[in-house]
Amino acid sequence: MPASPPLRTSRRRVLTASAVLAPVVLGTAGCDVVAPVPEPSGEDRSTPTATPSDTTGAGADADADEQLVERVADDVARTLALVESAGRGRPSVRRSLRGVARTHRAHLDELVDSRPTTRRVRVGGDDAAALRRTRTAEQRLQRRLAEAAVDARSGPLGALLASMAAAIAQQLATGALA
Amino acid sequence: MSPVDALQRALAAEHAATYVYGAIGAATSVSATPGLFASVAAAYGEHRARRDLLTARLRDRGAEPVAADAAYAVPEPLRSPADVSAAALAVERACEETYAWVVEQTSREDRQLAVTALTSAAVRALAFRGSPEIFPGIGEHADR
Repeated sequence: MPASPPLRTSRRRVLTASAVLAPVVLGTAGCDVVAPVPEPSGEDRSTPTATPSDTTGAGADADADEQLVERVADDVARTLALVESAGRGRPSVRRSLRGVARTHRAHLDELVDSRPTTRRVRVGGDDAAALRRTRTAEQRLQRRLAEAAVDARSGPLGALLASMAAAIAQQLATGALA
Repeated sequence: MSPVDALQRALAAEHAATYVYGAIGAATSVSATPGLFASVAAAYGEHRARRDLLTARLRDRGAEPVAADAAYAVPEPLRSPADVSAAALAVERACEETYAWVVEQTSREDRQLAVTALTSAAVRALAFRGSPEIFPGIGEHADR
């Protein structure tokens, strides 16, 4: 399987196929339970691509991933705009949403050089209604990130998006948005 | 590294996790710490289920699933609820890293499996005093 192509993009470093992760195998051969195994060899560092890459080439993969990153960044930015609006004028809601807002900002920072422009969102209702609407948006974003992780042509991008999906799942599980 | 090799590493991790959770469960009191016991029992069940899923997936691919080792190193001591939580959290954090790596090495349905497993490990970690992370499973981004 071919290595994933470097993306023709000015995007963040994570898209340059440099983000190779070391595998961790639990408790093998009497090692400590969380001892990481050595980083893979050069051969191991190759990353698979999703479907059509074998026939359409590296350029098509790069284009597809670039479009995917733009779409994901828009999704994250829209959700962040909603989170910020939900907290506006609602101090307790803003406190509850501090963690998820910080997470979105860090994710955007990793994906793009500047935050995409989004339409202003207005969140009405009381605190409970604002949190409900935010929770629904976060659930939708979490699903879309997980789908995007599978759709990514490059392995490192897939891993990043999967990690972002897991981070949002954690935020949802903390109960801060309940 | 083929997708089958990546799945084999995930299976090896699940063998270890299942074993370690067995030991952790034995050190957890259902009467003194029912909440912790329930979390440990649930995690044990989920790791067993993932192990079985990986085993079946590998057989479907015509591969012989890697066998469990006879024993694994278990974190010590496991005397207090804090010890138990720390050991369980370490298992889940290691699983996050394993599955983030498997995501990178696979595509399509294998990657889907790994994405789901990464999310599950990240959420389970919260039950063991883990705090939400910005990039679960990806240590190189963790300091952001």
